[in-house]
Amino acid sequence: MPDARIVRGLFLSLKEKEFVESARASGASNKRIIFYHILPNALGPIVVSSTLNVAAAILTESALSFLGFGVQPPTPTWGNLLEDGRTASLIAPWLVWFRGLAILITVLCVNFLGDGLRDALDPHQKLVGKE
Amino acid sequence: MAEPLLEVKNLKVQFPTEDGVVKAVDGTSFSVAPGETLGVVGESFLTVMGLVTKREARISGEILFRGQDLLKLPPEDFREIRGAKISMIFQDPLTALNPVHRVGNQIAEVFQVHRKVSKKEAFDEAINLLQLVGIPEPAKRARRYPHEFSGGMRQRAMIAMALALSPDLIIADEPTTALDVTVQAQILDLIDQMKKEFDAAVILITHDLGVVAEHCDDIMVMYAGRMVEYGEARDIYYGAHHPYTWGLLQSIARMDQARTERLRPIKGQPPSLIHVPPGCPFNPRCPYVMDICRTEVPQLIPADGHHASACHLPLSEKERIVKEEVLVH
Ligand SMILES: Nc1ncnc2c1ncn2[C@@H]1O[C@H](COP(=O)(O)OP(=O)(O)OP(=O)(O)O)[C@@H](O)[C@H]1O
Ligand code: SF4
Ligand SMILES: [Mg+2]
Repeated sequence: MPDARIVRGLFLSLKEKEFVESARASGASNKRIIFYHILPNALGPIVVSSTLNVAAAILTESALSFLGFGVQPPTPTWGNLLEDGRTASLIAPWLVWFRGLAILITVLCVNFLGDGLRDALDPHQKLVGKE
Repeated sequence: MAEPLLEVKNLKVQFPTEDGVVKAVDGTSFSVAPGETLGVVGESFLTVMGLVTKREARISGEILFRGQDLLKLPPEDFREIRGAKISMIFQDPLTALNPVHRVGNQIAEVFQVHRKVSKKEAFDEAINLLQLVGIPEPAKRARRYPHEFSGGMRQRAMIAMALALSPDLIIADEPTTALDVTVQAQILDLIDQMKKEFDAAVILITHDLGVVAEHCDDIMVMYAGRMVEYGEARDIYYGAHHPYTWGLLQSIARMDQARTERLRPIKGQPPSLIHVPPGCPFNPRCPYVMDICRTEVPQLIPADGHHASACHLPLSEKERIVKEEVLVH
C-alpha cells in the first residue's frame, strides 16, 4: 500500500525528465510514455516504500494489540499472539521470546524482500552485482 | 533554391511566469532546405520540437514542415511526424536515454512506435543502426544499459535512434556539450557523415561558433530571442556584420590561428528575456552603441546574397570593423 502522494510526486518529477521529452520527440504516445517510460522508473521507489510500510504496519499492529488496542482476539495476529504469550510469561517465558523473534524475522524478511526487488528493478544495481 | 523543407514564419514563443512574460523567441523567421545544415548560435534558442512538447509555452507564428503547419496539426498527426520525419538529438545522452531500458530496446522502440514490426525485427534493426554509427560489438552492446556506455558511445546510440526511420530533418540540440573535447569532433563528423548517407537536413544548435563554422552551410545567430545575423557559414566566420557575432568570434579559439593569445569574452550580463531593453537588445553590451540603438529596434537587413544583420551601423563601417578589429587579434 504505497502512499498515493509518493506515487503522484514520483510521476510528476519523472514527467519532467529528459528521457520523457526524448520519448515524446520519438513520437511515443502518452500511454507508452506512462507505462513504458515512467512506470518502470517509479517501480523501485514504490516497492521500497510499500515494503517499509508493510513492515511498519506489522510492528504497529503488534504494539497496539499487545496493549489491547489492536485487532480484537480471537482473530490471530502477531500482536495478539504476543499478548497471549505474555499472560503465560511466568510459566513459559519462551512463548514471548519466540513470538517476538518471529515478528522480528517477519519484518526483516519484508525489508529484505523490498531490497531484493529494488535491486532487481534497478539496472545500476545489477552492474554492481556483476562486477 | 529548392523548396524549403522547414519554413518558420514569425515564430514567437513565450512563457508566462510569476516575474513576467519570458520572450524566449521573439518573432523569428527562417527556413531549412532539404539536405542543408543550419547552425543556430547564441543565447536563448528554444528548439522547434522541444517547444512544441512544452505545453506551458504560448506559441504563435507558423512552423511549416513540407508546407504543413505543425502548430495546427492534430496532435496525433504531429506525433507521427516526430521521430519518423523529424528527429532529435539531445544535449546530454545520459539523461535523454531511459535508465531502466536496454539501449537496443530504446532504439527498437522507434520502429515499434511508427511501424508494424515485431520486437525481434525492431531489435535487429537497432543492432544494424548501432553498427552503422560505429559502435563495436553492436549485438552485445544493444543489450547493455545506458550507464554502461561511455559518453561518446551514448551519443552515438542517440544518433542511431534519431536516424532509425531516416528522417528528413534532424534537430541536434548542443549534441557535443556534454562530451569530452576529444570525442566532440568525432560526433560532429558522424552527424555530417550520417546526414549525407540519409540525405537529411540538420539544425545544429550550439554555443560554439567555432564548431558550427566547419559543419554548417548557413548560420543563424540569435540574441535575446531574436535573430541578429544570418548568412552562409563562410560569410559569418570571415565577415560577420553584427557586434554580438564579433563578440562570439573573438571569444572562441579560432582554428585558423596558430596562437590564441587573446580570448575576449563578451562583456556584461546575458540578456533578460523578460525585460528586453528598448531599441537594439544588445545595446547594453555593445562597444559600438549609438544613440539610435537605444530607441529604435534594428531590422534584419540583407547586405548581399542572403547575408543579413540587424544592426544600425552602416555597412561600410561594419566591413571596416570586421577587417581591422575582429579578424586581426
Ligand atoms: N518552462 C519554461 N518556463 C519559463 N521559461 C522558460 C521555460 N523553458 C524555457 N524558458 C526560457 O526560455 C529561454 C530559452 O530556453 P532554452 O532551454 O531553449 O535555452 P537554451 O538557449 O537552449 O539554453 P541552454 O544553453 O541551457 O540549453 C530560457 O531563457 C528560459 O529561461
Ligand atoms: S544596433 Fe547599435 S547597439 Fe545594436 S549591435 Fe548595432 S551598434 Fe550595437
Ligand atoms: Mg538548450
